[in-house]
Amino acid sequence: MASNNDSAAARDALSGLGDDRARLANRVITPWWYHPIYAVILVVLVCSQALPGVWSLPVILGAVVALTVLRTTYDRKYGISIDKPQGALTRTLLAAVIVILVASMIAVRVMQQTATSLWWILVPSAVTAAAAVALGRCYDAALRRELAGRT
Amino acid sequence: MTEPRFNALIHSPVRLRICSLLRHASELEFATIRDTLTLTDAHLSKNFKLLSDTGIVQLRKDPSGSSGRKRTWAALTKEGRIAVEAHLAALTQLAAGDVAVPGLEG
Repeated sequence: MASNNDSAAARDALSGLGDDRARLANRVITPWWYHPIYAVILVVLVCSQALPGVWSLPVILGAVVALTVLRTTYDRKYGISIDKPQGALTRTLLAAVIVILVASMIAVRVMQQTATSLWWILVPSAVTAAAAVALGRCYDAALRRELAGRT
Repeated sequence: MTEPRFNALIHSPVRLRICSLLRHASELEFATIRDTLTLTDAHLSKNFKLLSDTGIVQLRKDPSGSSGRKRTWAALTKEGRIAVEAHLAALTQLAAGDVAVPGLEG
């Protein structure tokens, strides 16, 4: 049976964990180069849809490998690997980037199929790059807040 | 929802702090945990060993790029994650003054 002492000890133990989370959140620092490289890789994915036939497949594969290398490099440098959103805002931001990426890839594929001038590819590419950098930075800020329990 | 269950091994203050950090990450490096919790190498190693031996934490050696020194990464196992969530649920129940917490004796 739990006593008053058990209850007080449990409250103490739980409150200390919040401080640890806040310290961990402070260590989640994204280097300046991360989001620009991330944006370039996503633009490569978008542009791959302009290639004819199956030529887009090796490019997509290369981009996925590059994303993995980027993530692993970050994890090794900072000693922290967090591979999924920690709360509602990070989930929403991640979903937004994925939706923009997929929509841009579809747009470029349609341009390729309809023989539209390939200069138009610059539009979805620019939108994807801007989303990767802006939403990526928002994601990291939200991740730090959610990790620290300040959601 | 996680069924509350008190776990005496996880409840040790240092081990609870380690497990609580790990539940927010897929993996954390030894030095990250040591510095975040301001522990000594020996203290963290000893607790890592206990958590690893009981299947709560999984340890992985990763050769670092520069010196070839192997870095240790820790992650909660699937069973470990369930046990930690259950223990934290039990602590929350205890903190709220609930008298019947499974796994808590005495």
